[in-house]
Formats: sequence, C-alpha cells, structure tokens
Amino acid sequence: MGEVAGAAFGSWTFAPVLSLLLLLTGAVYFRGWRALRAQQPERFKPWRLTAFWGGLLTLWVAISSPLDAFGNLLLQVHMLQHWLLMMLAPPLLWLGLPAIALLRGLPVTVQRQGLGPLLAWPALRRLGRFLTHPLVAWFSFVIATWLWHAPAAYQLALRSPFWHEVEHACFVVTALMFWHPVILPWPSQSSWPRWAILPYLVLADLQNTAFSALFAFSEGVMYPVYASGPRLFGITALEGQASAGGLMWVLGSVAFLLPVGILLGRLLQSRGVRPGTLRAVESAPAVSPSARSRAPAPPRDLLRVPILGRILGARYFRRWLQTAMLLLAAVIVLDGLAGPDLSPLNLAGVLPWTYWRGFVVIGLLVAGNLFCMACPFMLPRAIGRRLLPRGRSWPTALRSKWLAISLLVAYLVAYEVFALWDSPFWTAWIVIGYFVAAFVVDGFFRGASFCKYLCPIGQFHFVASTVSPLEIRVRDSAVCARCSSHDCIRGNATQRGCELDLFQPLKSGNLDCTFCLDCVQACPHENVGVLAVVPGLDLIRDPMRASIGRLSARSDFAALALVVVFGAFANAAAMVAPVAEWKTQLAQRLGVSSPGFLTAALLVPSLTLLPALAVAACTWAGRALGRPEQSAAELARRFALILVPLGFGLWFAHFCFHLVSARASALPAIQRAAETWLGLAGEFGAGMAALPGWLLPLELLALDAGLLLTLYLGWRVARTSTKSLRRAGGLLLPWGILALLLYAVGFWILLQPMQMRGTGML
Amino acid sequence: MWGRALMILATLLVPLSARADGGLARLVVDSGEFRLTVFSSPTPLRAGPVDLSVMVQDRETLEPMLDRRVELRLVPSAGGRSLEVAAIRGHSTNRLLYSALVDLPDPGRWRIEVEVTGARAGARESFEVWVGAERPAVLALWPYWALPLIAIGIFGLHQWRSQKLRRLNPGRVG
Repeated sequence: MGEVAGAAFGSWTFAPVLSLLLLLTGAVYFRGWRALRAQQPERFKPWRLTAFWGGLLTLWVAISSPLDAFGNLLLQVHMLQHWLLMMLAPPLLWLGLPAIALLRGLPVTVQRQGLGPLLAWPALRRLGRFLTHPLVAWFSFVIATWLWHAPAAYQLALRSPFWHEVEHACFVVTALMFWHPVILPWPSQSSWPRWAILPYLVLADLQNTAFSALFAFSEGVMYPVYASGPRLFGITALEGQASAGGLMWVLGSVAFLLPVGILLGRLLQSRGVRPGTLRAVESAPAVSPSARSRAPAPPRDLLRVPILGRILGARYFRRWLQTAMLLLAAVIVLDGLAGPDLSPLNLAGVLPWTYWRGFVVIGLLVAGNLFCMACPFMLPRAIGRRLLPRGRSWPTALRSKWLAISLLVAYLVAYEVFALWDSPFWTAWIVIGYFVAAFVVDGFFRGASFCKYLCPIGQFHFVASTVSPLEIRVRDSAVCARCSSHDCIRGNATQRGCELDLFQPLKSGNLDCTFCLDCVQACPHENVGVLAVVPGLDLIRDPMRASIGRLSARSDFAALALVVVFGAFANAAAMVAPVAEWKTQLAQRLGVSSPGFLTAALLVPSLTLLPALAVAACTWAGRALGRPEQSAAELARRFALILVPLGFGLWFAHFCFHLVSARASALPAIQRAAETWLGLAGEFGAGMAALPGWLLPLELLALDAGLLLTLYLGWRVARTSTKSLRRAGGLLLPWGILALLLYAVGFWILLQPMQMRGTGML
Repeated sequence: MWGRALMILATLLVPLSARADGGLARLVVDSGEFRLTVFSSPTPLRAGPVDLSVMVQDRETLEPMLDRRVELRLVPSAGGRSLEVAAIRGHSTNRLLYSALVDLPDPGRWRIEVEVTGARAGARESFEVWVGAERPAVLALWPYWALPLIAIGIFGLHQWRSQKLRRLNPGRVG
C-alpha cells in the first residue's frame, strides 16, 4: 500500500499558467499591502497578508494537488476539491481586504490610465453592487451548487476538461459573490444590516444539509460514471457517495456556522461602541491624499542593479563579449570550410541558424540589442581603422538605409534560394564576407558606417529593438542642459564618443543604437543609463532624433520596418509544408525548372511590392475615412512602423521553434568537431528532442502580443493625427485590417508542420 | 468595487489551468489476475492527439498494480497502418494510471488492444471505439485567437469610458 499511497500523493499537476498567475497576484497584493500598512497599520495587519496568501495557496492546492487527479475516480475527493474552491479560498481572499491592496500594488499609470476609466464606470459599479447583493449572491451560489451537481451537468464536467473548467469557474465566482457580504471587506459597505447575515448563513447551511443528505442517504448511485469506473481502494461508488455527503455536511456546516458565531460575538460587542466611531473607521479614505498624488517612480536603471550594473558598466565588459563571439565565429568559419557539408554535424550548420537566432530574439525581448553589443565584427573593424587610410566620409547620397534594405532583402532571398541553413560551407563564407566588409568599410570611412548604412543583421536588430524593454538614454535631461563638453558624442582622452552620431540629449529609442555603452563610459556626469521603457512606445513618438531626424520624414526607416515585418511572414511561410507543396505545383504548372529562380521571383515582390501596395492601400483608405491633416507620405511612414511588434512576434515564434525543437542539436555537431579537430572521440547524441506542449501556445501568445501592441500603437498614432475619436477609428481601420490579415496568416503558419531544415535531423 | 472586479477576473483565470488525464471509462474488465480499466480523452474521441490511460488493479484486492508493462495497439477497422505505443505512469497526472498520448491519424472505427504483462502473468483485452473527424486546429486553439478579440473589446470600452470621463471633466489630465 505504501507504493500506491506514494503514487497517489505524487499525482500533482504543475500548471505553469496558474502558478504564475497566483504568484503575480500574491506579489501585487504584497506590494499594495505593504504600502497600505505604512499608512493604516491597524487595518492592514500581518494576518491579512497571511489570509490572502492562504486563499491563493488554497486555490493552487485545489487545482494542482492529487485532489484534481483523483476527482474523476473518487466522488469524495472531488467534493473536497469543491469545498476548497467554494468554502475556504474565497473567504480567505476577502479577509485579506484585497480591493485597495491589489490596486495599490499596481503601477500608478496602470491604476490611473489603464483601470481608472473602467473601474469608474457607473455601469460596472452597478454590476458589482448587483452581483454582491446578498440576495443575488445567495441564490447564485446555491443555484450553481445544485445545478452543477445535477447528474447530467456533473458528468459532462467529468467527461470534458472544458466544461470542468467552466464548472470550477462558476464555483469560484459565485463563492466569491456569496462570501462578500459575509466578510464585507473594507471599504465595501452593505445595504443590509449586519445581523441579516446570520439568517443568510444559516439558510445556506440548511440547504447544504439537504444537499449533503441527498448524497449521504441516496440508495442509488447518482453519478453512474463512478459506478462504471474502477473501484479504488476497495471503495464502492455508493460508499464513496455516502462519504462525500458526510464530508460536505460536516465541512460545509463548519464553513457556514463558524462565521455565524464570530459575527454574533461581534454584533454583541459592537452594541457598546458609539455608532459614529464605527462609521468613521468604515468611511476612512481608501488611499491617503498624498498617495493619490503619487508621481510615477523613475524608470529602473540596469546599470544601478547591484553586481549586474557593475559588470555591464565595466570598461572591458563589451570587449570580452566580442572576443567570445569572435572565437565562436572563427570556429564556425573553420568548421564550415573544412568540416563535413552536412549541417546537423557541422557547427556552422547548427550554431548560427538554431542557437544564435533563437537567443538573439529572446535577448531582444527581455533586454535589447545584445547582438550588436557583442558583435564579433568589431575587431576587424578596429584593425581596418589602423591599417587602412580611414578618414573619408560616407558618401552623402548613401547616408540612408536604402543600401542596407537592399542587402537585407538580398540576404532573405539568398537564405531561401541557396538554403543557407543547410550549407555550412556558404554559412562560413557569409561570415568571412562580413569580416571583409567590416574591415574594408570601416577602414576607409569614418564613424560606424558599416553598422549604420550597410549591415543587414544590424538593421534587423535596430528595428526589432524598438520593442525591447531597455533603452540607453540620459537619466536627467537637466544635467545635459548644463553640460558643455558633450563627451557622449565627441568623446574624450580615454573614451570615444558615439560612433553612430547619437547625441544623447536628442537620442530617442533604440534605432541605430548598438548598445555599445561608449556614451555611458564617456559621460563625465554619469548621466547615461540603461533605462526601462515600455516596449514599442517609441514608435508612436516623432521627436527630432539625433542623427535620424523625424521618423515621419524618413521613408527609408518605414521601408526597413516593412521588410523586417513582411520578411517574418515570408521566411516562416517558406518553411511550412503546404507552401512548399504549392510552390512545387506552381513550378510544374509554369514549367520552371529552377526552384531557386521561382523562390526568388516570389520572395522579392513579397518583400518589396506587396508591402508597398499594402501600405499605399491602407494610407489611401485611412485618409478617406479619417481625413487627417498629414500628407499621405507622412501617414504611410508613421503607420508602417506600427507593424513592427507583429512582425517581431512572428520572428520570435519562428526562431523559438527552431531553438526549442532542435535544442539538443549542438551536441552531435560539437562531438563531431571535437573528434575532427581535437581528436576527442565520443558518441554522437540525438539531435532532435520531443516538442514540448507549451511551445505552440508560446508561439501563439507571442503573435497575440505582437498584434495587440501593433493595434495599440496604431491607435495612439491615429489619436495624435486627429482629436475626433471617430476619425481616429477610421484612420486606423485599414491598418487594423492589415494587421489582422497578417495575424491570421501568421496563426495559420504556426499551425502548419514546419520543416526541420536539416538542423539535427540525423 | 474595484478590487471586487479584479478578484473576480483573477480567479476566473484560475480554473483555466486545470487539466486531468483519465476522461471517460471505455472498458472495465476482469482479465487474468487483473482488473483493467481503460479511459480515453477527449470525449467524444476525435482524430488527432488522444489520451489513453489504463488502470491495472489486482482482481481480488483491487489494489492498483504499479509495476506492470502496458502496451497499446490501435488498429483501424478500415485497414491501414496500426499504431503501437507503451503506456507509462510517468506520462500520467494520476500516477496510478499508465497513460500514453497517441496521435490518431484518421477518423472511423478503431480497435484498441491492451496488453498487460507482469512478473507472473499477463492479460490482453480489446474493444472498439468510434473516432470522429479531427477538430480543426483553429477551433481547438480558440483561446489564443479569442484573447486578442477580448483585449480589443476591453480596450474599446476603455477608450469609450475615457472619452466620456474627459467630456465630464474637461480640466482633468489623463
């Protein structure tokens, strides 16, 4: 029996979403509770915190513990689970006085601008009052209990996970409604006198008694599903049903009658207190006046985080990163040129296409442009500057992104046409080409001309980092106003200034920023930091930017953003089986013998003509519907940028798929390389691992987030173009439709089987 | 009121994470020295990923037996390739069950054969199930495309409320 008990008690379900949600709620509550305790220590005592966290823990146990796993085998276990969800967790949560604490725990901006307008909505307030009215709450609770325990509904919930979740949702919500008038958490006020809660609870207990008795004394099995299942631990379905009834009877009575006793005691006590005193306590303001006028906290600065800040700010930190990446690049070149031309067994086939791309998009999402920070091509650039006659200015005619855009399009097309992911040899030559180009360009031209005007990978990162949560910028603009040396751009004796001509006081966002931290090192006032920003918001601002100007006047930036966005869809679509099949059929129908030619003929317009036509159509329709004052060109340039989050969402989903699906693919390549180059023999491991169940949801959520951010940015841009709500809606409508169309395409792509493209397929 | 709405929203999300293997009991049979119960999920069965779980109990004492080897064989009645898979306890949420996730390629009638082997004796049983057409992936994954729609709806409501508040309090910022 020991082994069986061990297995039974080991039947926990780890639900990451649930756990994360509860942890987040607990953290937000704690933040708010701590702030409120400083103002009202008598009201927000530590036991309130314990009660709220206890309520969250109870919810977690009810859903994640063996109670859930055994609910469909043992009725009494299922009833215990329901008791936790309906009778224990809700009152504990209300005892924590969560109303104001949860709100205070949220950032001020979210409170005021996000939730404020909604929570101040009279209709919502009326709905809240209605739902927690004792009569509505009591009947909802009782009806939910009886209806969901009717045999048809109960068995439906056991058969279907979806209906099981709906059942639990009904229980939790109606139980929260039921227990609200009982606890009456501050600052709520009851329309009923407190004594009325006594019959409220007693009547609930009476119905619970009748309900439990039905189970306990029934002579037949109410739920045939338990009779048709296995008899576990020798308990028959009827015995289980009787014990379930007894359990509900006893535990339910405790839950209903214990508060009756407490409430009765309080009512008797309060007869000695002057009514005015109680009213004064009850009507105390939820948030003190000083708290109401709280200013938003200054943005967090990564350079001021203990240890990490010191590491990042260290003078040679970036050089170490670059050296490590340079060594990796050297290994890739060596193995790509001299190793087997079989991508799963070659470091040049695995490291760049599976790992580097995956880590880069994760880095962009959680931090910023980390690739440029660790760029391995910095060393050849530095050597080029020493050896070649540097000193020319980059030609004025080429001081835009058009050349880089052409190279990015060429790279995306070449990737498909020449199947670069499957050719370690050509991968190595691309790296070499990069080294040579960086060496020559920066050897002849001043500044970081290669990074700014040529590097296609850099352009991808510049665009994608507009949705990153970190940005290098000044901490206090007043300090810059007093500065006359401008070391951040000019440099000084020990540190050069920004090579990309980004003058910090005028810098906005991450465009053209390589995260080199030169400005951080150069600033004599230590006024440049790596600050937290709201991802994507920079795309809706249109200030005069250092070295860039206004984005509304830069067609090249809009075109670059469009290539990155449409490139995400074209690149991912080319990988899925239905598109590959369609391409084959098209080649047969057209009599095209060269698949590469057809790929290029499809891809080039997809990256250039298609976005141009889409933008033209949206701009025309938006102008017709919204009648804004701006020119068509200006609108096109501004709205094109809002699509970046959606495109990044798909890049992220796509590269994460490769990283996760081929996460073990480095092993055989490393073992093979170690054997070839170092003479270390080893057994080749498996390259592919099973796809985890969370991968597709993660990909879809990334796409969801991209769509929502795109629509939000579009709305903000539209609102800056016109004050009328209706016109703003008209202006956004075509762009919203375009975003939804792209989203639908992305959703479809992610549901298709993707080719592994050589990585790790042994 | 504000917190009330927040609490209800937060707790509404809680049950969304609940999952359980098991599902509908398809077969309960005494076979050899065992009592076998086979569960399947989802209900009704559809082509695509299907969870099959087996409980193996001692026929006399009904004590769950945890050290047996359970093999499942799925044979399409219409002919075609059959599937074989080992059901193991490591896959189950309920550790008393031996379970396997099987990708059923086609709808139609399938025969499911269960073979249990142990130290001394074994058992073999089979039964038939009807498998419906695969649920389109778009429908199966509805929460993921419904999420943006819900968010857009809430945002629309938010903007409408903000506009109304601005009209009522013209001097107020934000």
